[in-house]
Amino acid sequence: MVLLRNRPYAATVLHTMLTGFPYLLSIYVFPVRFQVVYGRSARDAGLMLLPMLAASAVGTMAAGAINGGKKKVRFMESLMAACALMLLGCALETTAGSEGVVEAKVLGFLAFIGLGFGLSAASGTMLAGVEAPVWEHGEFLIFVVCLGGMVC
Amino acid sequence: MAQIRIFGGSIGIAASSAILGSKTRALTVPPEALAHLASNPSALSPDQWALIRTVYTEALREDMIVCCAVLAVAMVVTLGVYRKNRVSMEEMIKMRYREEGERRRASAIIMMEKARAGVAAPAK
Repeated sequence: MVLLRNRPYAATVLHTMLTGFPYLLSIYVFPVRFQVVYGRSARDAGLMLLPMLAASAVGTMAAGAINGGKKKVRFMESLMAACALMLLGCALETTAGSEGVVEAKVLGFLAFIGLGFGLSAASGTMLAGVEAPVWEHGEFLIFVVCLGGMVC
Repeated sequence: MAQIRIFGGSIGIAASSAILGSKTRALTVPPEALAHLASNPSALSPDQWALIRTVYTEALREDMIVCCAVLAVAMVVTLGVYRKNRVSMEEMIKMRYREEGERRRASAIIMMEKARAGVAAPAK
């Protein structure tokens, strides 16, 4: 377990877990809200998640542009910006109303969460790729799979 | 990385279900009517719908507050990613390759020595 003694790597693992929480929660909660509160069909609810998913693609590209190539890596800054964007999105989502009409702002704020997640996911994966020694690439994965099995 | 993300996400989904569950339990709408929420929307009166919308919105607000707290912790954790003397992505990859090359060379030497010892032993 050389990896967990590597501070940036361990911090990124924790960061990934803590940002996966709001992202997957949003993916689960918002379509339910679109169906129940806005009275839309399941298909429409899925389509209404598109701003979030598109923003997440943009975030991924941004992460590549910030960290890749010959420039110095800025993992801490990009992961921090990702957290800040998701925090902003989540904070703004608390203003959602209960009138039953589709609110554009809710979809717009979801884009912040998506953008932050894209940035965090790509930067985290890049960091894991370059911080871990080649022979450790498989080991941590097996450990987490076992952990997942235990939780189940 | 992907696994740990899903692990965090499962906790998130469980938390949101728990919050929604605790909110709907306080609801005055009969549970039988709630069971047909998606399949038969006309079974509920407009008043009941308004109530359900309020409950879902309140649950969402609470979910988002929990998310904000989790993300605040994530921001503190992210400070730990900082590293002095940073180099470019390309150099980091080169470093990893060099490391792996050295490891392989070292293990090849050990293998050769073992083989030599193995050959030498029966000759004695």
